[in-house]
Amino acid sequence: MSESQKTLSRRGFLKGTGAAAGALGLAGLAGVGTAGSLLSPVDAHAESEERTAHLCHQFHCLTGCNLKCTIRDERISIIEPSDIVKDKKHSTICLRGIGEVSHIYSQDRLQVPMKRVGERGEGKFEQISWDEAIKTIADNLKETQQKYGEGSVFIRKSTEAGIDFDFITQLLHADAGGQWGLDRGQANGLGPAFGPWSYLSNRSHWEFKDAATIIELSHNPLESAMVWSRPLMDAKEAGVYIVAIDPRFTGTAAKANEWLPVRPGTDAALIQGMLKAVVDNGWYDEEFIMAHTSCPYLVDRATGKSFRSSETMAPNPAVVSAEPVGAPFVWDTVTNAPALYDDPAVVAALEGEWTVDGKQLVTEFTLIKEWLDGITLEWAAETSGIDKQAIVNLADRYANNGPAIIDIGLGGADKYTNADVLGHSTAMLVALTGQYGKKGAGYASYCGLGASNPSATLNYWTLPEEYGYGESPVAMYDMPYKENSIHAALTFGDAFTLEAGAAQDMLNWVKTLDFFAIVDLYHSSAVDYADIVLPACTKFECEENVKQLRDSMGHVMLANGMVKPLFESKSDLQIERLLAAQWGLEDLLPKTYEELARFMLDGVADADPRMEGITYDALLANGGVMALPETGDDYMPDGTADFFLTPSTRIELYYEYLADQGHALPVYEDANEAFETNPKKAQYPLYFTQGKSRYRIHAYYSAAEWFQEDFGPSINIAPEDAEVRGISTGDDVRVFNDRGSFVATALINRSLQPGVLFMAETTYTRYYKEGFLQNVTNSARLERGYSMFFGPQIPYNDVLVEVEKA
Amino acid sequence: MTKYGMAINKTRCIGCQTCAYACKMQNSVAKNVRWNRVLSEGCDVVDGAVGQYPNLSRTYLPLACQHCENPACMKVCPTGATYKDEMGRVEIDYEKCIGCRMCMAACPYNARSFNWEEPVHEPGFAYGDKDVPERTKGVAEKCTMCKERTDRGEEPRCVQCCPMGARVFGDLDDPNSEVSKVIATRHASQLLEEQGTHPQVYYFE
Ligand code: SF4
Ligand code: SF4
Repeated sequence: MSESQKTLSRRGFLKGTGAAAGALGLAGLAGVGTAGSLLSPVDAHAESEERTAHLCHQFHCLTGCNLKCTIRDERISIIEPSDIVKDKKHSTICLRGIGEVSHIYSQDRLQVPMKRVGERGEGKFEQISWDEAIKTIADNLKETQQKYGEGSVFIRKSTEAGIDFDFITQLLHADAGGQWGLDRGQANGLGPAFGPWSYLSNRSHWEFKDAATIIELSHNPLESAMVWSRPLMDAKEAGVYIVAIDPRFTGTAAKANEWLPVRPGTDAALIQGMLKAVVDNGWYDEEFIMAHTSCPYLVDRATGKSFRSSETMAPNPAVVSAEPVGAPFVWDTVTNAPALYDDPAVVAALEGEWTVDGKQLVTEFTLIKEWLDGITLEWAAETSGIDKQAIVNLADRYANNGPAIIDIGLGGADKYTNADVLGHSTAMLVALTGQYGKKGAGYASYCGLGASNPSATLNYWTLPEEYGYGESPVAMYDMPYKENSIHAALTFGDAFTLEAGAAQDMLNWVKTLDFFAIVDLYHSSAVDYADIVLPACTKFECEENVKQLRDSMGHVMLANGMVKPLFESKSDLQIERLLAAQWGLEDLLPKTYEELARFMLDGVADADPRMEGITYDALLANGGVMALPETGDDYMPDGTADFFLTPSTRIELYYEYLADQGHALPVYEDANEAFETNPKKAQYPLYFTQGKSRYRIHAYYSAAEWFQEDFGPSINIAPEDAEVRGISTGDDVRVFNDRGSFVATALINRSLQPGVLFMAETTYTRYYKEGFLQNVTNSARLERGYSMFFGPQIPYNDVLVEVEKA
Repeated sequence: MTKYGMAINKTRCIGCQTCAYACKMQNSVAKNVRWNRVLSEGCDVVDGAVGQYPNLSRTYLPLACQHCENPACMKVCPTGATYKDEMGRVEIDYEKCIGCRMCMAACPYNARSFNWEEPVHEPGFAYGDKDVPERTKGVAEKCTMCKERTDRGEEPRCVQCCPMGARVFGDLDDPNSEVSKVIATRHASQLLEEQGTHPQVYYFE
């Protein structure tokens, strides 16, 4: 038992055991100083000089706290919430911000440029100079493009690195890998109804306390995003009824009034049960439906196509096909004829069927009702594993008990092939009950993005017109499976093992590339497969005093007071400049972060008076932080239900574009692999799920030794599943299926639904005894996903496995 | 008189461990040592659960030195190394500590750690507050209620960093302090009240 877990009792009283996965050093790299020797202990610090730095921390947790760093002897010694943000509400931090003190100086930082000397995957490297490394990368990319054309080079920057700029990909017209396939499954399904970006809320999460009910649907903010889950705890203290729908007894479920442990991948069945209850009991909001939804629109029953005007166009170009479409017709009960949906004189029918010119026309609502007639609550209960009465009670509470919010996670249920059905079903539930666009109501992921804070206006550094991204005919995650022209790759961060499932397929494909270089901070899983490895520095380090300029939490934040890059690492900008120089194009890029930041702010107040006074110099004089004028406690945007980014600008529930595939309505289908009646369960009886952890942002922070003391690659298993397999906590266990296997430490955890395993999202292979979790994950693709806004999603959780003692 | 104390809102505490790492950073706490830890009550793993599926529950208990009014540790300390200071905090004079570990046996809250070896710091430099004294092999250590910060008029690091605002710090002798008011109005209780130690750290729901 480690120190952090020692209890109130005497047990575990003595000194804790060592860290689960101690520092491993740089495997196979001789003659390079480790972080330990480079950072020899300093004592007598009381006399040392101190200075402070401020920066916007992570975009990728969707929070972006401004952090204050105390730097002593040029080492970042204290990290704390910002003292210069406008209000206390924005002076925030979580353990990942604090843990940077450990993470920045981790033993597993990449320190020097390296070239591979062993086989791909073996992890044997030799130190080389920056000059040699950059030249080797450029020579290989040039040669590849000469031989196979511009589109033969794949370049991708990780999310965090990519939000500031991405020059080199465009300079080389490289393939950026197309759709990401990450965590937009529900968004795919709700987008056609509410608009493509509507998965982010249009009202503030500080409104949570004004709801009567909050349903956390496959969302666990209390563990993934501590900082923006404060409003949820405010709501709890205010007596709001909180329901958590999640296969696992998550941190959020533990705080909820009610936990509904759905079977993995079946959330849509539960929601459809609620829909059934709402419609059968007449709990829908007819006024809202008529004013804000497509329910009265007419559909040609025979073809499944919407009945539209051929002359009048819908006001908003379609988001699905990007083609304009005709305005929809409704049935006018005054003239007893079809009429344009937005004609103010029309009194539209909600239900009914009529024959016009031999066409059987029927309203969407009638079709929805007919579809729901084919669904039973018994089916919903049996499929989801949730009691029938609990489903009806939740529907009643949601529809009839005051304003209600459905707060969805980005992850979880998105990681099954049928996630679009869930998004579409939930969109329908929200639309029929009218729980949208008013105080205390809404449906979205209420994360740190969305409408909780005002945003800034900044200039975007553009390259001359002749530069831009190349075509991406095949998404990166499909490259092992679909013919493509990629022969060389350069990634900033570990794209290959994080942004794809079934790692064996991906890594085998990577091995076939003529060339692969990686720029990374840590010895991530993909590093071992690279020919050239470049060490980037963290966002706390820079060649200059300033670094990233970001718009976050209603503030403009300029990172400043940076420490010099550790070891031989360099900033992303300087790395991109070095690369660009190999093509003679470096002058198209900013020379420094200062130049970039000045450019981003130059003249913005002319376009947006809210930016008045927020200049580079003013920012520096203010410690790098300035608030936008509206930022503050009373910033509560009034998101309405009056306009959506859909063709008719109302919520459109009938997905004509999927009619041919039988999914114009959210017809239920099982996930690809994770479903009870799958014959595969005989061989692989356990559901394997992964999710976010407070100790990481995806794999990031895995290398922080402080966190390693408490948290390594461990697999949570329910007591009954462990018992039949003779597994105890602390055992090494092998997790396997047809796609591969890995070995991790077992943790017997009562908070799991029997039959379901859970692991925090992927970490670096070097921390596992053998393999890593992506070896077992699924690479199945939803065919209809290719016609969706975010493309087919990677079904990371749509996975069955077996476990045995290793 | 001033008597520093704290009240922790268990309804708001989400077990995020931010306070545990904030403490480790602030006080340059060494590898595998914690002054402040967040327990999953009644569970043998962190973030476990109590009960039988699907009727489960989980509560978190952030736990560190309780800065007792009547400290069991102080009573047994043979050298006076453990003492109650003028601000009502329980502190250790590391110079006087002889490493007998009587205090550790006496503390009903298992709040103390002992340096059996020379403390190892990862990263290998003295991170944390520059005013926090170094500890060596052979001494006991524990939460100081951020003596260095509270002496400067700042709140303890765990209070400052808690993302949930679950921790309230202040003067228990001042009936108008926020902490005193919270204790009075929210029916706060103390851990192991029957031990007679009278903790100055309170918990409320
Ligand atoms: S990781 Fe934590 S500290 Fe950093 S920005 Fe996100 S919430 Fe804030
Ligand atoms: S930081 Fe706050 S919410 Fe997090 S574990 Fe500590 S007391 Fe609880």
